Amino acid sequence: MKLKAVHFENVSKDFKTDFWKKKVSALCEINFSVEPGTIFGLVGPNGAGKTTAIKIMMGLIRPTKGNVTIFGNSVEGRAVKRDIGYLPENAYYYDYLRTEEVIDFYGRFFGLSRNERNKKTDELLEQVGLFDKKGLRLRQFSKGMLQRIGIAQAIVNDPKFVIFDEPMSGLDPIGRKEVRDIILRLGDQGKTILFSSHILTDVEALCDYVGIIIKGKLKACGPIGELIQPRVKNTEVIFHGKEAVLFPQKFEKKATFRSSGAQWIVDVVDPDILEQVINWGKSEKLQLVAMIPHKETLEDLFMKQVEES
Amino acid sequence: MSARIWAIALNTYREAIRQKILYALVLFTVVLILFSLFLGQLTLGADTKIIKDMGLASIMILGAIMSIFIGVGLVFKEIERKTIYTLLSKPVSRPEFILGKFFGLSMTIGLEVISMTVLLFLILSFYKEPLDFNLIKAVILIFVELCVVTAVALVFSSYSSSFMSILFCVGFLILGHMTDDFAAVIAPKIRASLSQVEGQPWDGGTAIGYILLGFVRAIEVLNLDHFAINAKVVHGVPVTWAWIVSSTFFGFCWLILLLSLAIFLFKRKDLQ
Repeated sequence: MKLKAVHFENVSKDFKTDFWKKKVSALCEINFSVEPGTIFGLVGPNGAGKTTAIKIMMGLIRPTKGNVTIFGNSVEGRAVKRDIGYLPENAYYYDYLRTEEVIDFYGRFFGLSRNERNKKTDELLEQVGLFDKKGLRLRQFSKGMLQRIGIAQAIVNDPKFVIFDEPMSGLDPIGRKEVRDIILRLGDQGKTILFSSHILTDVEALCDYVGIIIKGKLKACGPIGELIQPRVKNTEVIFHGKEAVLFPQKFEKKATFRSSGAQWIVDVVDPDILEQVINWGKSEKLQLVAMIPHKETLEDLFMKQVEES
Repeated sequence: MSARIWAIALNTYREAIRQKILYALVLFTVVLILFSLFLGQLTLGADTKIIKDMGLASIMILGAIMSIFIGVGLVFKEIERKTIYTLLSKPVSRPEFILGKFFGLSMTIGLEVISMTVLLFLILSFYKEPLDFNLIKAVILIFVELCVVTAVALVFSSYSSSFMSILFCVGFLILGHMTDDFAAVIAPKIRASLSQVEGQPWDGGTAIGYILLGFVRAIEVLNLDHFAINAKVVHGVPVTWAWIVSSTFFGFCWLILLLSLAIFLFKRKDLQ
């Protein structure tokens, strides 16, 4: 049997906010697995428990109940970390270190020789686009550069399993694209990747599997293609033409109608009336510009789960 | 020392020596040692004694400031700045982290002690003072004591905020150097009063008396005066190597105890 990259079994975590205060449940009976070689997205609103789940994976905090394994090994041990790379949320580094010193420092924990570390440093800095920043201290880095050096330190050991906690948080569109490209590149190399995010478009674009955590509970988990309905949710029909048109009452509740300049946009929810709407446009001498079918998105699924909880 | 402990130690050392405040402190100590030259001029025939006395005191004061102020942040600051997350995600155990931090700061303090001692010897050489190996003995015990203070700071750093930790460490240092006086003045009084109630049935007063006696015994163990041979060295009172070795071993026992406690506390900690 192929070992799971990570396996959560009935994992709960309670925190005591204060000595006298009651316990707060951060995670409640979480069960999920990540298959090797896949990209798994953990999504949820702020404070849902994503970072807590990741910290338990990294052995930084202990679960109150349950068990977590990585490639079949307990997360408590030191050995399991040889195969893992981790980028924490809003990662902080030793800002007095120079770019190359950071990689050299983290490389030491994997028994790399000085030559191997030097080679690795050049390789990784090239990979994350920081090669020309050698000699700079981290305190001179921008947020995007810090995120890239964070990714470099996370993959210094060429890990089988990479965990990124909110890797796109606080980045501008260019920074986000760069991080997305790095994740895809790592995925192409066959690495298992788990990342948390609340930027749902990124998760949808990158992940094979997704888990939705809300208020410490895993609400949905599975292949993204199965979780999101493949059927067309609604179709946008766009007409161009007259200044004033009267939309027939018979389409009410099955379609919505709005105008944008000289364009008339009909949002058809019931696919059975689609042909009738097109015919109505023809009869009104409107020019059909476009028909855009909309499928369910991760955002729709996410919002549904949020509303239900 | 394992490569991982060494990596953490080296990084701790690097962090310490890249702090600008350290250079200010070193400069202050150099000025203090040089000031002893001026004081030496004012005393007839005791100039080298003054230089030795102030020199050793300056080495101790700078070292104590470094041990306490850098030491209390060793773990606490790593958690506060979240740098610990990336570090502990590597194959590093928590005991290795604590030991690495301890050795790193001890190395920095060792460097301070060595460089200030060299400066002290240079100044003494101007006075045609023959090389006094007893000064080395005093310096060795100053270093051992500073290592113990670093370990105390590390214990507090593992679970408390920096401010509270500083208070506890300063308290430890002061109390540790007062135990001889404490034992000489208070302990006999408590023992005398307890001897009067010995054999009599227990009551509240007797219980409190025995608790106090236990407290006195605990404080006697904490005696940091084992390391304080500066006055003897300065006044030419011989100090045997046996004393140095036994005091170093006393410090070593303290280190094992304190580092084990720091590891125990840190292993239980959830890094939220």
